[in-house]
Amino acid sequence: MKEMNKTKKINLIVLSVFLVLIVVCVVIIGVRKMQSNKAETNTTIPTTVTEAPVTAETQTAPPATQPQATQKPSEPQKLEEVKGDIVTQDALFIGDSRTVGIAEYANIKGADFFCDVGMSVYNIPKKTLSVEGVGKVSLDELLSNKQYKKVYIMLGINEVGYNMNTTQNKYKELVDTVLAKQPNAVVFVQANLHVTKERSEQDGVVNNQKINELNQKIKALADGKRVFYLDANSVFDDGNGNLADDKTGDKAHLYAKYYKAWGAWIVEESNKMV
Amino acid sequence: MVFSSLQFIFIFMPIFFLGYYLVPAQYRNAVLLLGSLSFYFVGAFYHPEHFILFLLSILLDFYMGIFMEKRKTKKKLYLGLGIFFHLVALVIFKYAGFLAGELSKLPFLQLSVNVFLPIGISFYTFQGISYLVDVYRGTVRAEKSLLDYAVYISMFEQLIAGPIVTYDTVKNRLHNRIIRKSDVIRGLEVFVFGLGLKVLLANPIGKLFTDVQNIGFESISTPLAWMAIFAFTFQIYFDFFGYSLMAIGLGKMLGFEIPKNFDFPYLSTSMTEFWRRWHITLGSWFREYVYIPLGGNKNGTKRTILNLLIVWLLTGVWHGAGYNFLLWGALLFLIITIEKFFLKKYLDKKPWLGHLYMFFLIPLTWAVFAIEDMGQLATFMGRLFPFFGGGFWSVFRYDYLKYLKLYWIFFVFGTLFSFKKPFELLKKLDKKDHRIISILLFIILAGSVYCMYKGFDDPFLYFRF
Repeated sequence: MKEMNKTKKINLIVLSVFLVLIVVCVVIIGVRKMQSNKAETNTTIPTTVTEAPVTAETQTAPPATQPQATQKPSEPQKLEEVKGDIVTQDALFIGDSRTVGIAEYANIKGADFFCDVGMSVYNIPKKTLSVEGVGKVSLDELLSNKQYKKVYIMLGINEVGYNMNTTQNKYKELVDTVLAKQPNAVVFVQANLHVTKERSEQDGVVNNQKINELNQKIKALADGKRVFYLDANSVFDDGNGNLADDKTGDKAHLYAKYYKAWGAWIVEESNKMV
Repeated sequence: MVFSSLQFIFIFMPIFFLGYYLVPAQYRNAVLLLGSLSFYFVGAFYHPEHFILFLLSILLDFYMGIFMEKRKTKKKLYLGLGIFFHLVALVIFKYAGFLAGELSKLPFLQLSVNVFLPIGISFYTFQGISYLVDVYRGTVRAEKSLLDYAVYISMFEQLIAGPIVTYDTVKNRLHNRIIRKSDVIRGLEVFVFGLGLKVLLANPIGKLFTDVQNIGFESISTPLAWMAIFAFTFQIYFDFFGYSLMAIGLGKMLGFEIPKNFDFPYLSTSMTEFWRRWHITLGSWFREYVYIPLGGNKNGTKRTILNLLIVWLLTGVWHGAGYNFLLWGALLFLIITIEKFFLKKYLDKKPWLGHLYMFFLIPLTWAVFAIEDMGQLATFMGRLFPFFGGGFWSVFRYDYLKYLKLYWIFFVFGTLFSFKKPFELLKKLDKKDHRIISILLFIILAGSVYCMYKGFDDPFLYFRF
């Protein structure tokens, strides 16, 4: 009997606790709703902040509305079906993971590649990489041993969190080194590609605002005589300054099938400029 | 909160276990309930409605159980009410988003449903249903203490991702348990080992499949496609196996014997056998609470086949709301039915044939599970079997070599730990000299903490469910 009463007492306590917690939750929901009604912004509740389960599970319940991105229907066709080989001569591509992608999937003939995932203007002087037909070299050694006509540089996405002016100075150092060691070459500095709208809105560092800012700094290095600026963003954007959602799997890098088009665009556009 | 996170290991565990071990035995369940509710609340922080649903589920099942015993004539009503509530909750929170999306494809309907999946719902719902049915059948007596019942459902080691523990399995320890120092140490060891399997093996090798997805299936070579699907095969196993071990380890530290969920499934010689070794508690749940109530195999061949179809389609969609999960369930049904009525005796007679058969069938069925978009699935299949154009190689001629260089060691360990031998060796070593095991586990813990700190952690796959 005593056991029963004790259990009943505990049940009552636990039930009360549960009811209180439910009320607290209702209050929290109410307060949050009021706060979001007050705020004019459309920012969604951050889902990537902490718990992995919340992030993973939002993927199984997509909103029913169609994506807003405006797509030119003919573009995807054109971008994936670049016929024939991309041929160039005495070209060098310097860059990070995006250039690695171009090296692997664009099949550009007549070019050397000095690129690595994680490459930045800060660590490039210390890097030694394997260059096909040359061996394992540092950039300095490569530039001393071979003469190029066109040198393409695409760096910046790994530096977007650092001080922009410092990065610009480092970038200028790199460009000057190339110009000095390659008297017959022209340098093409390239804009960093945008990330998708979703990534841009959720990332405080790698977002399109910062990328654009850095790209402007890079553009400032072009003098129109030996240094030129290339910006391929218009090819892959969604019309609103973000990388198109359907062109990427990880919201930052292009699908491999677009690298050939990108390579072809770079070679074509740079040929027009010189 | 995820077990494989720094906040769980260095904040939650020390604080919780300090309290749990210091209080007198009679208060342990209260502390466990408090800890588990906090654990859930943190996980559901941005969705308090999920917490409300969770609490209501517990209350409903508890009182339905009590009522079923008090008024036996109305048993069916209470059982029905409880199950109905759970099914409605599942449909709303798990499937409504998908259903709305599909219905919106019709020209006259425009539904917009933005629902998030409550963590653990697939697990605690099944637990609740099993309890209601067991009380209804008289297999167990209804739990009289709300505290103890709430602990049964909410205890954090099995709340988020199973194993699906039936009330019968834990009721004795729920009411009275002795916690031995040896159990606590052993539990911690099992936890660390599970953590290692997840963070040091499953997460890294899983990245290969993610990398391949980001390259885009149309651009990979056939060898790389096969590597990728084997990588996923290893990832999903060690992810879930590791997590289940962590649950068992934590259970031991709490004084519970959580049932094992995996029994070397990749050593199976048939799909039928596989599903008795993979996610064991889920298979038992479907057998006990769906297959048998439907009549099992007792009502003739046609009915048996229908029952199997229902069970496997439900198993499929339990794993996720999407056509690929339905297709996956249907595929499993087909394979298992063919085995049941024809193939299995040959596979059982010649184990080498069974192993070869499963060597291909396991990754191929996982491909259907892993790739949600049907078009992407077709593309991927076309890369695995390049007989319809597309070519064997990729534009990047040596892509498979690049990734082999990066991931070979994980394939080696993945293969190794799919067998029983390494575990038997570890147990032998343990008996010989416990210190070696302690050092090994310490290295595993240190390595795992480093990886978690660096942010190499990936969301646990089975959380989608």
